[in-house]
Amino acid sequence: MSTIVNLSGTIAEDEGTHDWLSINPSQIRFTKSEGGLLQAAWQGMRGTVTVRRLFPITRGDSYIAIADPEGNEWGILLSNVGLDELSRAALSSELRVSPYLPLIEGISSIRRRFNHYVWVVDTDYGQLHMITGPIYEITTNLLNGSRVITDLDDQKYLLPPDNELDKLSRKWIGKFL
Amino acid sequence: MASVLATSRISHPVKDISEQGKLIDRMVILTSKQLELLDAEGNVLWIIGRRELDKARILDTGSGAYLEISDLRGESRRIAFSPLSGMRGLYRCQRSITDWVNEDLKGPAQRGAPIESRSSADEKWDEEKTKPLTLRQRIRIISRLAHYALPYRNQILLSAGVLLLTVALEMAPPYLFKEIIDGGVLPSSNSKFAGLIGLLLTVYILQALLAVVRTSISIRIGSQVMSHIRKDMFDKLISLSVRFYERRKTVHFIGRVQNDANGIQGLLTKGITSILVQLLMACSILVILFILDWQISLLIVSAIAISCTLLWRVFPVMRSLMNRKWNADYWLQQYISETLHGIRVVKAFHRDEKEKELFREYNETSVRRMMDQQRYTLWLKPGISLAISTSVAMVWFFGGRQVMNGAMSFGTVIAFTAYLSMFLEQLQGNFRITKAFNASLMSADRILELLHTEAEVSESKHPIAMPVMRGEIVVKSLAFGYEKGINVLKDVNLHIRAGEKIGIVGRSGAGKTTLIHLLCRFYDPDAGSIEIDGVDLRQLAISDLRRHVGIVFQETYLFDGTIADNIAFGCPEASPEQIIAAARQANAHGFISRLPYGYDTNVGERGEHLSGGEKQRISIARTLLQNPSVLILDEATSSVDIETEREIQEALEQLCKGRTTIAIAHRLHTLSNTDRIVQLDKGRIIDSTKSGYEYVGEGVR
Ligand SMILES: Nc1ncnc2c1ncn2[C@@H]1O[C@H](COP(=O)(O)OP(=O)(O)OP(=O)(O)O)[C@@H](O)[C@H]1O
Ligand SMILES: [Mg+2]
Repeated sequence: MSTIVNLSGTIAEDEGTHDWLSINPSQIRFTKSEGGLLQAAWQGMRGTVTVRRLFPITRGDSYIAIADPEGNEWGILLSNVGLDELSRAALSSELRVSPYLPLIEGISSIRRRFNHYVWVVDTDYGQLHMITGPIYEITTNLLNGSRVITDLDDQKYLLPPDNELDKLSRKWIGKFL
Repeated sequence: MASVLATSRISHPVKDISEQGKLIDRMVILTSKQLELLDAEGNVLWIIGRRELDKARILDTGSGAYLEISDLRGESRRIAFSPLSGMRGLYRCQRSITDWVNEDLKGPAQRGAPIESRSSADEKWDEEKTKPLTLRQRIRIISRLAHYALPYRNQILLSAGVLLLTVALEMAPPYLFKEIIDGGVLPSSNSKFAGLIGLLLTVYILQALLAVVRTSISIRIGSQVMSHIRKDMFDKLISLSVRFYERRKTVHFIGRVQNDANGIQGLLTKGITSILVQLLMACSILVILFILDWQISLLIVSAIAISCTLLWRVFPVMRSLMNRKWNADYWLQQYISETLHGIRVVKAFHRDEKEKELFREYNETSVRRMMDQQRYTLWLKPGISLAISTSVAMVWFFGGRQVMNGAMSFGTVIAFTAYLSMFLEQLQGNFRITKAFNASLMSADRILELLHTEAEVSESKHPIAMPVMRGEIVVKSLAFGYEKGINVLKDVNLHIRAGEKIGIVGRSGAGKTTLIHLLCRFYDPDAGSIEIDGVDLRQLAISDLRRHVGIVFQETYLFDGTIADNIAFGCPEASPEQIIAAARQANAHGFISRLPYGYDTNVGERGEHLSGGEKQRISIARTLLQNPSVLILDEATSSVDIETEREIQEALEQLCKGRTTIAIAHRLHTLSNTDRIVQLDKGRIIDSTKSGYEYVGEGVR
């Protein structure tokens, strides 16, 4: 492991140039233990692991930090593409709440109550109610046109770009956002 | 001024402070032979011959400057104190004395030689600021702004044409009234009547259509012009030097970019044409009025003349009231912004109640001034309406009598009153426009002032590019002060070899941060120079300097955005790998990966969701990602615990390889691995030790 950062280098072409270990998807296996814990095997290491998305909002399925339960990092999985089918399923189910970030698939309604807004949205976790503050405070734009909506409890929701939503949702967005 | 000096007495009232700390008035009198210093009662305190006087100089003590005059024998005397006389007053008096002495020594040949001193430039500036805008200045401002409108000249011309047509159409209805009454209603001619009504309706419809066309044009151009002006203003604001902002409050600029651009957009796109057209319209109506009945018209014109004179007097008062209100609003806004920025400090010091009270004061001032202004203009509108109604009544009185006498047709009276009210409306409109016009000019003035501000630190005319930097730094007899006369750095000499690692220590306020600010060229030195790889910083292309010199600031500033955005601030195209690598180097990856949103975590306004040490590590990562040849750390590890500091140190050590590193630290062990430690004291380098350990060993602190 070299200690000098190659800051102009590009992705994993030359793994040795990063001072951190990037984990090649084809070399790691994930399984679920009987008790539902995520296990991994990689380069002679095996055991229970904790996984975290490093860029949960902007690059959900890439850059996943793999660490042992004490928090010592094994390395970073560059992408879940290239994992075998079972590993991928095991990993995804573990990542479902890392973090809990519902993706809004449709908006059923937005109602204004004093200075709060009550949203009824369909997400990949099912239909949810969320209460937010004034609209100008709660949205953050991402580069790809998606927006992150933060509700009063600081829970975040991902709102895809307008063109990926149905007509009714767009109507609500047009009215309030 | 110089020629006057030779013949007459010049007197300067000045203020000084007595030994008991009391204010004393004095008078400096310059006669053809001598300088006299008088006290308030006119008693002579001191006399010095014109040829015995050596110099008049201004001595800065750090807490106010004195004007001191000395004679050839070396005896000197303080005659004025700046906090009481004002710095400008001091300079003015000094200049006057210097001129007076020079003139005597060099004789009339030198007379009138331009002495462009700092003070005279300041005075000029002062005068320009306080004088109202002259007509010529107004025209100059407008023409300089005109280039924003230039790309749209065709549309503007079109809109002016449409406006002209509108004017012509507006002239028609009163005449049609006359025809309807005299030709249709009174003679009971049905066909003519219907035809005229049809014509009247057509005119109204056309008017409406033209209004739509005109507005749609101005909407289109207007917003484009405004966005263009805003962009230029913001570009300028970004390019201005750090020093520019030190002297100003930033809230100010938020409003400027938004409102001022807005303010002149209207002026550029429709203001000028509509003023011309309005004027044209008023003139044509007046002509028509005179044609209809010149006697009544004359009466009206004289009444208008009187009202205008009255208004002329009202205007300045109104303007001053408006300005006062504007100021109060500005203070209020500034106060709110400042308090909210410092909300933690406010709470920590339990200042809530006090701040509320202060706010109340600002708020009340603002409201009071608004009321003042509104009260003053309260009677204006009703007054004008009254004047209008009175003149209409007058017309009916004179016109009606003439109709009864058979000297005038009934239709003419109707037309006359219609034209008259149109004319008066015009006047009112002009009045409104002039008001808006004045406000726009003020905006325009502020915009131009900004756009024409010279950046103090600007790119050299022929910048030297430096694609690769080795990082050899030579500081030669460097002197610098934030304010003139108070040097923070004095005669600093330093040679840092490429790749060398040096530490700078020194008491708080010694000038360490200042030195590296100069190295980054946030300011230019007052004397001496800084060279990197043999090129003077002032010659070096600024973009190359910024690319190769990376700095971790003493005070961390993060922008509202994600951690990844902040780390990639200097290299927006950096890949996630590079961002993670930099974060690891700065020992930030650990805590970042434990955050629920990892690198996508929002840091909040100015990074307030993070701890001081976390912010600092992110800012280190930000600098590391830039991969600079010269790395500057201004107490980069001051707000992390010892353990983290050690970790960062280790990382930095690896990182310093192949780079010139300048590290400032209070804790000496932080600098234990440097090649050399330089000690700065009161703006001077007092010690330069080869080895860090040696330095620590000697216990110099
Ligand atoms: N923007 C400024 N305008 C006017 N004076 C300034 C400004 N910044 C610093 N100074 C003054 O310049 C002197 C040197 O300040 P500098 O920030 O260089 O000190 P320092 O050695 O970095 O101190 P510290 O160790 O506390 O950071 C101080 O007396 C300070 O009051
Ligand atoms: Mg400092």
